[in-house]
Amino acid sequence: MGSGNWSTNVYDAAQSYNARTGRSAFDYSHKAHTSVPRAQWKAHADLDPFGVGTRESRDSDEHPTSLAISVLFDVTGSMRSVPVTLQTKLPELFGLLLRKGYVDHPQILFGAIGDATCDRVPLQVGQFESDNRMDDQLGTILLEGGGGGQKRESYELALYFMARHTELDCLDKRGKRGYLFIIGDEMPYGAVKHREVRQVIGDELGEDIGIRDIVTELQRKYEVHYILPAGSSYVGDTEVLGRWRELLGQNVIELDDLDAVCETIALTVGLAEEAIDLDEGLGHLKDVGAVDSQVGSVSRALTAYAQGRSGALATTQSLPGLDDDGAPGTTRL
Amino acid sequence: MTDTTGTPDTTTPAIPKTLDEAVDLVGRAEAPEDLFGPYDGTPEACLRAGGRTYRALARFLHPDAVPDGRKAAAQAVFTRLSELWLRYQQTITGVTGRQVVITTRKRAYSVGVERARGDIAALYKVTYADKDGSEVRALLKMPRSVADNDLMAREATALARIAREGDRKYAAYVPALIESFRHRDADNGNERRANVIERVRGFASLAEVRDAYPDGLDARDVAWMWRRLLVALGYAHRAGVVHGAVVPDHVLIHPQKHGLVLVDWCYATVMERGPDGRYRAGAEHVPAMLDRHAAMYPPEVPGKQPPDQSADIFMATHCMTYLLNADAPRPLLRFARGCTLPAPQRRPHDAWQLLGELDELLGRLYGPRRFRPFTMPGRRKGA
Repeated sequence: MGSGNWSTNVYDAAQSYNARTGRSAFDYSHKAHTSVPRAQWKAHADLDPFGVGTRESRDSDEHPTSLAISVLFDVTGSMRSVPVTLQTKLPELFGLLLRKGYVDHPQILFGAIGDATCDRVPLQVGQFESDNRMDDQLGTILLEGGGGGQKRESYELALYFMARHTELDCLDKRGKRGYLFIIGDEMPYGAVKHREVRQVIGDELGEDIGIRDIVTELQRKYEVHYILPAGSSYVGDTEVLGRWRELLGQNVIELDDLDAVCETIALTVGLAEEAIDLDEGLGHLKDVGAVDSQVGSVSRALTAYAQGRSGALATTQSLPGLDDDGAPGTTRL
Repeated sequence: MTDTTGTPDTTTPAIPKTLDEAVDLVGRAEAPEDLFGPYDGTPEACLRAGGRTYRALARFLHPDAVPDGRKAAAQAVFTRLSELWLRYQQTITGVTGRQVVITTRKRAYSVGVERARGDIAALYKVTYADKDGSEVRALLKMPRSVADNDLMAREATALARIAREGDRKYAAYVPALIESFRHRDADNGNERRANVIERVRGFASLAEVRDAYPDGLDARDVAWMWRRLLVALGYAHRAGVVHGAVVPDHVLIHPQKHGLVLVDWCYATVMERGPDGRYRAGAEHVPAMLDRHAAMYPPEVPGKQPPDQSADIFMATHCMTYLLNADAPRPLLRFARGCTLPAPQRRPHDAWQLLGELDELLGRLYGPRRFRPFTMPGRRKGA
């Protein structure tokens, strides 16, 4: 997966076509809500995680240095209008990353998170794409709007899927972790439950996996970020933020203007890639026409993140003696 | 605008706004300083400002960012830009020749020759300028395979935690982490986690000690090493860190000073604090094992069970019995056996308490402690 070229023109054309024919950008969700009884709701075939094997982000001739970027957002009721806003804003992410030169070959995967204890469709995960197909997938996400109201959703199931069912060339070939952004307003459950994994993903696990273990495993593949957006139920909730900070440290971002979500993600990637510092990035936002309030939101969201980042990136020519395939004398456990 | 703060802003050239401007700027530059500004005596500030200019130019000139029709021309300009940036960094750090200069946010490191090859990492000698301008020597540790980046991150986490939470009195027993950063190879895009670590001199590993004394050591020589190794473990364990690979290559001793440093924290795990305030096994197991020392590991490591303090004590004890000669006193060997039982819950967990027990035993065997000189035969100076 992940071949093909992005064409802004085609994207614009598709948008105007949809507008002309009266289809909403969320056609699948709209149809499911209006024509199918809730008990029969299910994920679109392209997004159903059951039995899919792996979602892959691969290098190709066109995209020799792919970088996996995944965005999974909570679609339960507590998020209110947030998922709809995300569906309209996220298509811009790819173009923004490219235009500002933060990443040469992004491949983006979108997904949605519900609550496995009560939802029909607790997890939806698309493919890594570097062309318009990712927008199609964004459009087919079912916004179930369920959830339980216990301040927990099945984030851990999504984390499990990303840890065990994705393969990234950026990591395997170049040692570079991908990016994973979780956008939501609640906490994960304490463990990945093997029964839910069997039902939703189809894997047979002998036992549950603790949330911390799965986060540790996931962080070997991804730089994991959590974004708590304005407009959701538990904004500013110290319990929710505290729990995620325990799990992800400084990679927890509070965002007070959801319209700036793409810019926030793009700048976070740009900062992490050391393509920019925060001032440069905020300058870029003004260049692309962001209004002051948006720039302010992104600045507030990322100031602490930018200051707290450890592990800056330094680039030089090759050092001698590396790349001899490492350690024949060790066994990985 | 007058510059009274010493910041390099006034010397930084304009950031380009278009591809044409970028091509023009690089084309007109005859020396690196024309692009990145003159050296004003503050290497870090100059490199930081220069780096910003470099990135701004590179964003316009990178072959992937350039329209198809102009790719070939831009490639040449991009190459020229890279050369100038490299030369600038070398000039600023006063380094000539083919050495690599690695510029991070905090420091500029001049990378020298490879000092050693560890199991997973290559170690290079590096120097950098301290705050007062004096030159500091250190070691740069890079994983040879990009698949081992997580192990470097693990080491950085462990060393930072020990430095933060451990008792500073014992800081000399664990090497100081100077900086941890990500390194990208400009030629192939490979990304590595790099750790810069304090360089200790005049030390030999226990493996080298054993090579130098193939018949083993007198137990009185082993005694001080044993005592100090327990101090190193006690220091780390009280900070909640299990080393996970206490093998002869990772225990370094200073023969004359009777010093000891426990190195290579790439296999470390973090413990969890129980309700009683004591640390116990956390969630993670030891991530890798050194095959040639497989016999020294306790069963929970290959069994992928999270280790606690007793795993380190188990391996440390094996390092000591590995050094002993055939005349070792039986009580000492019994003591060692009690530390290396297969079941973790039956082994000692508190290195400090164990040190007390060991001291008592040594007192019974040898009387009051006396300094006993120890030398390594035929070692090259400064090796």
